[in-house]
Amino acid sequence: MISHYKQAMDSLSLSPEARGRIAGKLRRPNRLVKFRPAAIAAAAAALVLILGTTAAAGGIALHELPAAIIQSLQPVRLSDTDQGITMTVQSASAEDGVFTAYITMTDERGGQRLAQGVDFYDSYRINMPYGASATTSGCTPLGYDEFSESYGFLVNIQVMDDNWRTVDFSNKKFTFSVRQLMLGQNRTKPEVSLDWDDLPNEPHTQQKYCYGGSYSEGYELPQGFPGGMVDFLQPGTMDVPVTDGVTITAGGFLDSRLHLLLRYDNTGADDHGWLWLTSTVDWRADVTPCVSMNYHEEDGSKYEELIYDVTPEDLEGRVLSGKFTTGGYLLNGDWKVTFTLMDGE
Amino acid sequence: MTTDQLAGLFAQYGDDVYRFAYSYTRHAADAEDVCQSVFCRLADGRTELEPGKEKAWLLQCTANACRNRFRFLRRWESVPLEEAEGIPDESSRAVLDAVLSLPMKYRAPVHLFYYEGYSQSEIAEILNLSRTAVQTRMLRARAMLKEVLSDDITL
Repeated sequence: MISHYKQAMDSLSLSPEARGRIAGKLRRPNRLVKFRPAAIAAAAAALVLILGTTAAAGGIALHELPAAIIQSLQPVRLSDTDQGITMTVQSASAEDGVFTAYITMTDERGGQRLAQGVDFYDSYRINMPYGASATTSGCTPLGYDEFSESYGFLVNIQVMDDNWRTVDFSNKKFTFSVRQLMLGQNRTKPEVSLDWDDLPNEPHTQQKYCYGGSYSEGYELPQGFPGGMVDFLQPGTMDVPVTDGVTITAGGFLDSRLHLLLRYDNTGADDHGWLWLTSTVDWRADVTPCVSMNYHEEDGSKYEELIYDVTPEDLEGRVLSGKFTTGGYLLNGDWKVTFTLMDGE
Repeated sequence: MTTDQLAGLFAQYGDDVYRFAYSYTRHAADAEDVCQSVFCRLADGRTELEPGKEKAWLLQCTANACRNRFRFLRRWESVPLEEAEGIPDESSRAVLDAVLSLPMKYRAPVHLFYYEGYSQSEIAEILNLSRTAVQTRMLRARAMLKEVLSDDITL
């Protein structure tokens, strides 16, 4: 007898539209296309048509956005320019205490300041509703769109009261502002091979003040973490370059978990990144760090220790893959857009 | 992998990937996005699939994609099940609601066991967990489901 769960799941399937869209993408893998002027003019005309027809459905997305997000957003399209850079709130929504906005930045000077990447450097804000005292926020970069010469972001801000309860947005008038942009950062996706057999068991450690980090639920956390004195690996036992300004400076197994210590040489104000373990020989799942924790040295260098819940046996055939952002410079400015969202989105 | 092979895999496993993604995201459009990213990753030509293990790779890739996206889209935890229409009977609807109401880490093993029919060892491989962790999660998931489902309804 077919189970109830199986019956229910069997009734779900890809919509014909999604099936067609995905099948089309598989027939036409992404390729770099060089536009000729005539082609640009034709594409611009087509874009105007698309703008007209999709505006009512939440506005256009120049960048790749999850379909579910696009559906929930209302068009805004209001801009503010400072330092030759225009910030546009393309669309936004506010539901269940979560503000979401699709933002684009465009360089009016026509340069390539944004092409390499831009970051809000945690300097984005919205006006807080009555009763709110804290926020949690996230900003997902959507990349640079060559055609519109704009860089996109998806911003999520959740507001809470003193007791960490979500506060709803009773007033639908918002002011979204940005005060700093981080420009010119290098973004790399390095792959690093380590000789796992050379990693020591119980390597030397030293106590340092941990000023922050992150962790996945369900894993044992190091004593003192976060915000206290924590045992970090003693740096200097390895010297494996990861990307410009970042090296693996120590590694080993502590308490049956793999620890890797990264050193950031302070080349930029917001150097960051992470490494995960991926298999090059089979289809085992990636292993991401269960804990990451940081400390600073007086010379400005930053250390980050990544901890993986993985056995030595499971390291066979794995390499480290990573995503890093380093270097760059800060541009101060004042970009501010005020807009109103309609009720009953 | 040729375009035809890709199209064949999508035709054969597209809905399975979508359903597994739905069990994570509980949202049709998000599940479609995940499904697209999984097959596009296959299309970039960097992955060689082991013959006979294509489906397991696709589901493992789906789990990775869902976990990565979840970091940015916390609202997945509060999305109503409005898309789950066309479910044949009330009992099936109740079971689906109950399973999708479980915390995320319990939903994937339940789906792989009860829908895909994988053994606990195979689930452990797909989700990169120990077999004991899968057993524990299944036990807890069953206990939670038992609390919310009436006695005459089984998975």
